This record gives sequence, structure tokens and C-alpha cells, in this order.
Amino acid sequence: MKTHTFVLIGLVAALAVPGLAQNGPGPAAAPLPAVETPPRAFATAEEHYRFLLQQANGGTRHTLETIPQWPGLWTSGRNSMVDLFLDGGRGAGLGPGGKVRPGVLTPAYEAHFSKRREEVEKNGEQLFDRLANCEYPGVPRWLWEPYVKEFVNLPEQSWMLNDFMNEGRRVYIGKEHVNFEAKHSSTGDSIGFWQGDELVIWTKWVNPADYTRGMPLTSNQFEMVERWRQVENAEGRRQLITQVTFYDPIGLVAPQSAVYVHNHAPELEEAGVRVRNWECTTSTNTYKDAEGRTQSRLPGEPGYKDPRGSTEFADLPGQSLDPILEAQAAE
Amino acid sequence: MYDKMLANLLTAAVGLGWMTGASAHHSFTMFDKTRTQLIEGTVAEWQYNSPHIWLYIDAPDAKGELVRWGVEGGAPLMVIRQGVRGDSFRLGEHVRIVMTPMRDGRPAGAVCFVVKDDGQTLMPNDGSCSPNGVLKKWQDNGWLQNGKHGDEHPYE
Repeated sequence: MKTHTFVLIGLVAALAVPGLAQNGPGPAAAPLPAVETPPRAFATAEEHYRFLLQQANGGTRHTLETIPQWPGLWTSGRNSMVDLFLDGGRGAGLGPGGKVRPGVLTPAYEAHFSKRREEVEKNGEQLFDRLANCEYPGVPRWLWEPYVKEFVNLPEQSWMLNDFMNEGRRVYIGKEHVNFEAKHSSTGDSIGFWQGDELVIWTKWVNPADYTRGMPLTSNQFEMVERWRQVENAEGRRQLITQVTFYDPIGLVAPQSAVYVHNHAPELEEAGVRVRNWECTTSTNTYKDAEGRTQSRLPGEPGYKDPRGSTEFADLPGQSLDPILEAQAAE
Repeated sequence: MYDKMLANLLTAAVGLGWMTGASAHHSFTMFDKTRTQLIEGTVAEWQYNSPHIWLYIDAPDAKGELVRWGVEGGAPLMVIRQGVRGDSFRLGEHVRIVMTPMRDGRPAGAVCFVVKDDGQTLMPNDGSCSPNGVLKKWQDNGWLQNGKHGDEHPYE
């Protein structure tokens, strides 16, 4: 690798890494689209969804030839969610900063959020994130989870796939909700319809979770209505814009709307990135210690797992889990 | 070709503010972000795995006995944007690492940057360290050039 390559690495590190640490807007980030609130106030997600479906005359019946495609690799970008809950919180989120916006969350949820923000202010961030325990992000957090995503639109279903823990969402087009298990789950049950090139989704039966680390909790009555569309920004970059309204009669005083962005990442495709299978419980070494802090087991410590996998037959030839690096080392 | 690809990666990373959505899968409170520490040794394991890469090196302690040190960084699909790939380190190669150490004193930390013997500096870090500022500080003060295994300096 040549010297100027590392100058570029230094440049991006200087710009990107502070943003990563602070979770704030990047210095050259594109403007966040405006939040589009629902056409009128709806008491429930169902009421909202049914209204949109009626406005769309039952939705556009796409075929394989006409259905909008969102090809390629995508990464999550900016969103306005933090602003719902923190005054002056843009750029904070995971880290300190901002004041809890009063009256947005119900008293119990506001009290919990205030305590969580006190912990963030005191320690620099939340001491333990449930994801470190291999809990799925679920929705609504899926909308902001990093790593790499892919989207597959078919006439009968849309698949929203995140590399992170292989957490995929399935949206059943033109169908009604079904809950044959009589259970909630991390991503719930999603139904949707197309209005031209816009995908409208209603999700319900979602496990209680959170909007993300450092942000409020959601209840098991959380539901959301999303509107997804692909646009091309001023720089010619494809983006997926998601206008979402959160309904949570236990967690929220009133429904709240936000906008999320995903950015197409052709640079990852050019680098040869492909999404691989990975599963959390067999590969994670993080846990919550007695003080409630995140900890990580090291090799040799009880409970440590080799994230590359395991074999019961290490003495047999051909059982190594790292044959490529071992072959390189032997050269 | 490779440089063009990397330049595209880096330009896109900056232009899109891609990092704004980034959130590692765990909190970084296990690391002491007030300190930076130099460790050096030979690569024992290079785990280019989700959700965090880990680089392990073997380094002799004061008694000359080998201790395995580990440093954690970002996810593969994030650090590849910083030019770090699954074959960026070879088992047995000598490296120097500056990290923010674990609070509890175990031989591990969060990687800031790695310097290879050929002079390459790689930054497979996650949100626990802003490596460019740390690198500059270590270079400007001569800590990197004259440092030895175990040296510590303030992060800020």
C-alpha cells in the first residue's frame, strides 16, 4: 500500500472517528430530509395505516417487472429520532448531552429515560446495552442499526435484511396481520402495500425494546407505520428515506414521527463486501458484570468463546477454523 | 486499482457522514478512555469477525514470560472502510499497538491504531478511540518512536 493511501486513511479517520464516538452528524453529511407528519392525527397505527390504504385505493399491484428495486448494499445514516426525546440532543444520543424533553414519554417511561440519561451523563454512555447480551435490536431500533443491509422487494413480500445478527424483517404485501404463535417478537409482524414507488408498512406485536442505546424504552404495545421510498440526493447518491410514526400508548403520551435515512454504499460493493452469516450467542464474549458494566471475556477465561467457531475434533487434520491465515503464516 | 477503490471508500465515508448511524453492539465502559497504552509483540490471532474484530498479540512481561494481549476494534464491515481487511495481519508478524486499556487491568483494550514493521499504520478502531488525534499526540511527543511495551500516556 502506498504512502498517499495512508494519508487518505488519516483523513477519514480524523473526520469519521469522532463522529463515530459521538454519534453526531458527520462534517459533510447530507441534510436530513424534513419529517413528514401524518395527514391528520390518528389514535392508532391501524387507523393511520387503513387511512393510507384507502387513500391509495387499496395500493398498487406490482409485478416482478414493475416493483421498485433497491439493489445493493446499504448502511444506516442520519435520523431525527433523538430530537423527539432530547432537547439539544442532536449529536448526543449514545453519549452525553441534551435535556430530556418533558411530556413526550409517559411518566413511568420518562422517569426511566431520565435515569438512563443520568447514567449516560455520569459515565459517558449507558453502562450496558441489551445487545451485548445477544438480544436482537428489533424495531424500531432496526431502523438505525449500523452494519450492512440489503432490501429485496417482491410482489408478495419485501425482505429487509441486516447483517447484524442476521435480523431480517419480512413485510407481507396486501395481507392482514397474522399471529399464529400468539406471541410478540423482536421485529413483530409487518404488513404493507405499495403506493406507486412508496412502500407503506404497519408493524405490530413487537417485543419491548428501545429506540437505541441511550434512548427511551418501547413497550409491548409499540406499533409503527413506515413509508419507504428511494430517492437520489443532490450528489447522485441513492438513499432510502423512511418516514415513520411511532404509536405506543404505554410509552408515549402521543404518537411521534421521525425520519430515517439509509445510504447506498457502492464503495462497499467495490471493495468486494458480501454479507456473511453470523450469529451472536455462539460468538459473543461480552456480559454484564456485578457492577452492571459491560465486560468482555478474554481467551483462557471461563466462558470464553472463539468467535470464529468451535470444533470438538481439533486434533484431526483439516479441522482448523483459521486455515487461510495459518497457511499464510506457514509460507 | 487498489488505491482508487480505497479512495472511493474513504470519500464516500466522509461525504455521507456514514458514521452517524454507527452504534457498536455494546457499551465501551469497560475501557479506560482517560489513558492510552503501547503494547508490542507478535500476532497470535487475528479475528476478523462480527460484531467486533479482535487482534491478539503475544508479548513478554517483565519476567520474560509471554502474555497474550487482546485489542478490540470495530465490525469488519466498518473497518474495511478504513482499509483493514481479513488479511491485513499475518500470524507471527511483529506489531505495535496503541490502545485504551481495560479498567480492570486485564491484558486487553480498545485499539486506537496498529503500526506494522513496514511503517504502515492501520486504524481498525471502534468508538472508544479517535485514533488520528492519539496518533498525532504519540508522534509529536516522541512517545511512539521512543516508546516501549507497557508505556502509558493520558488520552487527552
